[in-house]
Amino acid sequence: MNRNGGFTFIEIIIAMVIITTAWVPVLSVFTRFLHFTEKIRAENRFTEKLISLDDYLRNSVSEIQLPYWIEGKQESLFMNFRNHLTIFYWKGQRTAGLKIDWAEGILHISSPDGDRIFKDWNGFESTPLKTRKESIIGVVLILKNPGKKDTRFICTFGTAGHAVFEEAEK
Amino acid sequence: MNNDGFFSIQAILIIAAASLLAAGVGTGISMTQQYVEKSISLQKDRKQLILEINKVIKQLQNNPNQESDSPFDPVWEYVRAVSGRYRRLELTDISSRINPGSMQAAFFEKTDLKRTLLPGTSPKLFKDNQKRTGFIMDIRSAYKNVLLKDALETYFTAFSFLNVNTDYEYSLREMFKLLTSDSGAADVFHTFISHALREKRLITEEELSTALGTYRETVFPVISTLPKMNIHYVPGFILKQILTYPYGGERINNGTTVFKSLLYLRSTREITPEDLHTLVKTEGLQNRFFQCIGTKTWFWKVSAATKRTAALAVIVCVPRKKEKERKYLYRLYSLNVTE
Repeated sequence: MNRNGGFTFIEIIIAMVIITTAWVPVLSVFTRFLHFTEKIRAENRFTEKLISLDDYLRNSVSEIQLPYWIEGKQESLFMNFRNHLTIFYWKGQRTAGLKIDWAEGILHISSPDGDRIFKDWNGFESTPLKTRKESIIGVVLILKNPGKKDTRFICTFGTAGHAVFEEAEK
Repeated sequence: MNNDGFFSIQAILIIAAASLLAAGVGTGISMTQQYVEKSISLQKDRKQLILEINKVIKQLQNNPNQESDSPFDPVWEYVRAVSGRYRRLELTDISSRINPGSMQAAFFEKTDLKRTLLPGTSPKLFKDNQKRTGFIMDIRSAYKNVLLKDALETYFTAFSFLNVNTDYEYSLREMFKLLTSDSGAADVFHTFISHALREKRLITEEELSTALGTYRETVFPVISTLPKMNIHYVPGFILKQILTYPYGGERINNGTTVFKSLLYLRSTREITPEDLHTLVKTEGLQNRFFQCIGTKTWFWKVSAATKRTAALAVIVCVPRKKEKERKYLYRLYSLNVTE
């Protein structure tokens, strides 16, 4: 039998079946790998989003500089209502403020130096960060993520204000 | 044989796709690694600078003679020793200058300080500006229309404590109000200061303490009888004006000679509070000199930088009185780290 001419149709079919069967687990692993890669990419994107927001928030809040004669207990430090927060004393100026707003999935952070938006957030809450003697030295922002746990950002002001003179706890 | 060839092409395509994927993943991993390494390196620099600032605070705290801060203190030796490790490591006294928010405009009228006013600006215009802006950290913007730019940077500061015997009475009232949020008490405090001014006498620490009552804890040390500037670091020009100012109409004897002696002495050794009283002979209202000039620095600036990161810190010296002994605590007032 002269085999040099090629394979029979049956042989090709059998070969294709074998190859296809062999490819099933390979493709399955490959698909899982792609899913896994996509999941990692999504996590990375989220982490990147968190890092970027954390970086911007901390830097922005650190521009709040309470002069050493201002006690961080004063109500005039904040203007806070639903989905809006203004913190005064931007770069030490009484009337200049850092504004944080949320509307329709977008977090908008603005200051006299510029503004930036962060997408895909479900709103935020804020509470003052206080010393043991109740002086405000920063702000805690709790941001709500779609489909994930809330993320808490602890941001301190650039200066401690009058709290720097507080008696140390014994 | 065509069939063999078909299978080879299939294999090559798969290998090519796998290679591309591997190359993509590899590049991604490499870029992530570089980013992580850079971040770790920046974090390390940041930590190092913060650690160094804390070491400077410790050095200031461990000064053997707490009553006097001078260029002969161990902190300077320390800064010199470690400065080689950084692109920049500088320590500066930022409180031994004039606070335009609280100074008396009369100081311009009766001294050469008037040379720091912008041409065409009068002490009255300065006073109007002072009243309009109130206390402000950004004095460069607030006083750029009345004071010369170079003078503002060299001779003036926003970092200083207020002295009840030398600062402008209405500024003192304003600061009291800012600190206590009590307008009524601020007016009572102002009356107390005005009374002493009319009687042409100095308010003592004890007297002030009694007058402030429960508010003492709130306003001290921002309002006090502590000398405002340090003889070792006050610019010569300012020192000369303070020495030649006619306190109650009377200038300090041999003001120019005393000025030269003080300049020489501060360049050769540490001046103690006792030395200062021995060198500068005063009587009556001339004692206001010692309310302006002392031997302590209240605010320090530390500027440090590596190749990639820079840090700027302001340290405050907080005086505490325990029975008869005075203690000084050094605290970080502000810290700004940039990349």
